[in-house]
Amino acid sequence: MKFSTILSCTALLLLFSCETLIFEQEVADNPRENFDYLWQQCNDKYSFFAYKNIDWSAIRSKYEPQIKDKMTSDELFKVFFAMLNELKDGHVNLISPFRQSRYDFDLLGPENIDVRVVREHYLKSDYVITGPFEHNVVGADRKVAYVRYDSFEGKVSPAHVNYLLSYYRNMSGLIFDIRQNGGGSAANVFKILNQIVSEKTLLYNSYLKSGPGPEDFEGPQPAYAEPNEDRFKFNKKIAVLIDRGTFSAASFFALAAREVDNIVLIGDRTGGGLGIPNGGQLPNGWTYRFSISRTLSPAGENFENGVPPDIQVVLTKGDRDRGVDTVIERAIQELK
Amino acid sequence: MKRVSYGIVIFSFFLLGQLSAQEKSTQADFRYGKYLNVAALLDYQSSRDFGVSPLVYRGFHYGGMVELGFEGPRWDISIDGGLGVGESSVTKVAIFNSESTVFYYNARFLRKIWDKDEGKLDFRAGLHLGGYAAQRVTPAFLNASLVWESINTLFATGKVNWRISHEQSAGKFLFIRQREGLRHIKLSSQLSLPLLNSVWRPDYAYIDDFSDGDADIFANNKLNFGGLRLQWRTDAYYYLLNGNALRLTYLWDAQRSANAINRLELGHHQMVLGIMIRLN
Repeated sequence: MKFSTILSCTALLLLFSCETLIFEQEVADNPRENFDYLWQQCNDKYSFFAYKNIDWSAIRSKYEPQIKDKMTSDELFKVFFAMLNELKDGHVNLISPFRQSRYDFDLLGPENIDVRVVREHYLKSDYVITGPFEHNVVGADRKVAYVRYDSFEGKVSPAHVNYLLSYYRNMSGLIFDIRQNGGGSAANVFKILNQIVSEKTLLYNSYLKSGPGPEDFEGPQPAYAEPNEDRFKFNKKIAVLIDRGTFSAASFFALAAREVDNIVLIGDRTGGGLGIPNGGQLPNGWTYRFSISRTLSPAGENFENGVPPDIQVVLTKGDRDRGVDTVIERAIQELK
Repeated sequence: MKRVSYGIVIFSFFLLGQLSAQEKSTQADFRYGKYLNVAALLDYQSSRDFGVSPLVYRGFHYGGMVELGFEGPRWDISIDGGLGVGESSVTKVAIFNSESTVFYYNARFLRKIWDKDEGKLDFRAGLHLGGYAAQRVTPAFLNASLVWESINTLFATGKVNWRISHEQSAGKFLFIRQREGLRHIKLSSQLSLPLLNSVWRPDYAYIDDFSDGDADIFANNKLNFGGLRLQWRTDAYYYLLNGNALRLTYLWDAQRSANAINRLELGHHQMVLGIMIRLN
């Protein structure tokens, strides 16, 4: 009995010591280790160092001296927040139980929409809701359709898009307003554009990070819009309204819209966000995310800092005070 | 989880039925033969996926497995498959949970190399193909919260069997009636060392680029060879008079993938209790 007990204990000890062969030592949870881990993860995987001309080692030198062995988690969070904001990317976040870092990409340009003005003077009280879209007829001669789409969250039904295009078939054009649309599901880009394009259209190419070097990417992964057979053939012009608050999936939509013949982009440059954000965890449990891909136009242009409009229009204070949306008015002119 | 619990309860009744309904088999030596093993398993899993976190998630998984096998005086052949579900967690600034569903599958081919005392003690060696496929969901990892991975290893394996017998007198063991007769017990210990280890799991960027409208979670999975995997198991068999057997297994399985930046480390401590139903 004694022998078998000793044998069992020895076997168990052997097993648990074998497990240390397999498992690396646990990373220590202290401010310095957390800093090193976060810096290294970004260094190895973030996708826009070269494009944004960021010297990440210099950023380390700037923030590392601020890390102390004894600092509160709020103090540590503030250092990480500041370091990550050097990336100037709305897809970069750090999340602790009580704080969340963000980059205010929408403040990079002038405020280009007053939602109250849109509600009162363009959508008015008789606007229609179709799925995620709010819409009505606008303009003095009421010959232009206006569709407000404020989030790519949730699923867009092709039937909803078809209904809109069919309902407004006698209009001279359609305004599709994605200002202050912070994104959501990129799949909705295709749900909408597949109802609009008349032929298979290359919208953009994506490249996924494949190594630690700043230019280590694999791809391209092309993204196409393909005309839906059941679509309503809407051959009028469409004005897509954009601004600095147009971000992520909405920015993908703006990038894609550049390739569609009957679409014109009006407003201000988008907020960018053309890199897909991953997710991960620090040794202390905080969660982070940052971009691990890049998306280029078919011509190879990188609009990570914002997709530019075809027609630059900024909401003026005078118009706003009079209840006029400068950008919508310019779009109405364009579609007449 | 409820379904698994019901399964374990049903299995326990089945097991008790087998124990209490022993009838003497006419077979001369039922330590050898074909069998179907139906088992319940309890798995304590440790996992660390460096692609998303340096933290080790630990927790219990429950499930079952089925094995079809043949054990003869010279050969030992078996295939098995099983399923485990459970939740692992790590506690840091909050409790982070990770749910996983794990499929296990193995095939073993062993041949007797050496024996002693008319087969009471023998050593068998051969090949063991051991696979593991899992789906893990860890909400804390945001866009990287869902992962599919599969680990497949070709092992060289060696197994020592020790067969003992004793005369059982009539009586009761707990509430189970014991008939008198010759009882066979077998203890075996098997160590599997890797010849070829492969891991199919998320590659460098970890997540799929879903900006083309297709969320294909397998798109960024890549097959890598290398790494390290070890498996050791110990089985205790108790042969019933009707030729069936009860088997209690402890299995330790640990692996580390080769991929340096997204390395996966996994450890399993499994207890498996099963009834081996004799098929011939």
